[in-house]
Amino acid sequence: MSILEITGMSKKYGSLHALQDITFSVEPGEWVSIMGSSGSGKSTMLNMIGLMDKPSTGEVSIDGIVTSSLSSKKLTEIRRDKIGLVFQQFHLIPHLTALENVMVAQYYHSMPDEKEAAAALGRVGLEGRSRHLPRQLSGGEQQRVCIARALINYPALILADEPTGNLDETNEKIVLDLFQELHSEGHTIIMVTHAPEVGELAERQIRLEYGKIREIRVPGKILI
Amino acid sequence: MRKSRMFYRMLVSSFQLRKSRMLIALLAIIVGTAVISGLLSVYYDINVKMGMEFRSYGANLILTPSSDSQQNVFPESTAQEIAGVFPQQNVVGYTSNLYGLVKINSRRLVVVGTWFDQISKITPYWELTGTLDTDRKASGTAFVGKTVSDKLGYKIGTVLPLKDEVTGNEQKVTVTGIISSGGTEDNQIFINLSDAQKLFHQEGLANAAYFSVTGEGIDAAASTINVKYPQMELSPIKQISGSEAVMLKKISSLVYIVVVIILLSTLLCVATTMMTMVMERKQEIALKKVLGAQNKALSLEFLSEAGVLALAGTLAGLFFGYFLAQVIGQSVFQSAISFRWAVIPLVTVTALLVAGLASLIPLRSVIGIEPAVVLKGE
Repeated sequence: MSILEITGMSKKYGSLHALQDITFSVEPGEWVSIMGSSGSGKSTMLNMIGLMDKPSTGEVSIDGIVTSSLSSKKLTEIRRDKIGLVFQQFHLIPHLTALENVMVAQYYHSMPDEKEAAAALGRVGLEGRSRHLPRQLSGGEQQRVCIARALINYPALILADEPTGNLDETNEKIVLDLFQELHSEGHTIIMVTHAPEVGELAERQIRLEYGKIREIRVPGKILI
Repeated sequence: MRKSRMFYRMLVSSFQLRKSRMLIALLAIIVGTAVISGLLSVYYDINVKMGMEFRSYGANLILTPSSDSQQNVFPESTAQEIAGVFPQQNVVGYTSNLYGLVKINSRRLVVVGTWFDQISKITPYWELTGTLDTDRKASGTAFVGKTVSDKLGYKIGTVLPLKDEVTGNEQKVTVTGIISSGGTEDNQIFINLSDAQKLFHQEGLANAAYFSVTGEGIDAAASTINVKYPQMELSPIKQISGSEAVMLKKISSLVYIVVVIILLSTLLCVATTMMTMVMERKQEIALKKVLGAQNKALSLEFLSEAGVLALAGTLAGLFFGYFLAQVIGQSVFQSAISFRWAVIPLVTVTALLVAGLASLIPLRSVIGIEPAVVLKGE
């Protein structure tokens, strides 16, 4: 069963077609990158997959659950249980420490577990920074806290929106290495990026243009 | 870590991060609850305080034979019985009076028999020169009204030969004091009730009794007594009891208006601060929604913050309110205002309601936040 299945998905904002007739699926353990220039519909698609927005037409299924007719409460539950989100701007809570930022995700999911949260920070190489506030961490460190938070509830799908967009070269490498590690461990990753060198790390690249799938490419082969 | 501990941690860190905003909301609640608790304490005490104030205007009840009784006198023991109907601590004083006309050296004057020991309680506003013999059994002393004294030259030490023309009884009394009331009393001569009863041959009788009574429900008590004693008529002295009721009503209205204004201004201040906090925390709220927070959980977090503010503000407000009440008590009534336990739950519930109401609009904004929009920074 596919982790993500999108069938005939379109999104309209007034007369603007942000996405048109999108159909594809993502299998467990796959790394897919969604690429495209600014305004191509990447972020809109990420919002649909992350259940933060609803398509105008079509279906989005997460781990076999068809989501189009679900209430916003139910969508929040599915997002909480199935999806881990990593943002370009990190979005950490400024008054909570790195450890507490990870525990917030546990708090809204089930039960905060300090040891588990500390282990997640250790997993991303931040053992010694758990008591630091976000402002005391570098951009790369903040992004790694964000990845630890995304992983803490064992999501079926990791959604990353330009995760290296705000990082310098060194930190970009650290974060991408981390994603590669996660992928090798079997995590399913969908990463939105405009950087070709980042997109090429994925097993499959989906290129969007004007809200439509322009190209689907696997290494050495163009499928569409 | 328990969920409650994490909740507490988030709450505390939220307060720490927004110290200045929280302080503004807290100050608004402190000022509001201090004024409200102070006013309520004064309000609860006002009946007692105003009652005491009004007692300085003298008696507020008068007892006379009823118009049906055909009598103009009654046993003086009746006044004692009626005084016993009121709670003892509410009876400031009472006196029985016997009125009669006497002739002094061919001049006719009104003589009033009364209890000298009750004058300071029943007519505390009289100005008295000289001394009063407050022993009810004492005999042969009198004090005269100022007009009588001025016109007829009766001074302290003057011996007055009183003669009742009806009975022909005579008694000599010595003037020991002169009173000034600004009323009819200035034209009268006051002697001990027992002397008057002998002079007018009305032993054990009186024409009227005056009572100075504090507390609520005086009109109702008077009605009950009138049923129990059909031959008597106990009536409130309207100038006094009426003024007291009007004044209390006005003060009550004033307290209500001030409380409502204070509540509204506190509500506005807390609501504005909460709204600003929601705007500042849009990203945090959106993120929590993305992480799985339901609107109910987020609303609970905001209401808890408002609740903590309300409780902390109430605690400090009650403290300052007590001192405010004392300041009002000393400056207006020259006496302390008693602490009322009832003020605590009343002010606490009010503060929680105000904080809850002030959070309603901000909560609507919390619920309306769209993570997809906010987290993209649009």
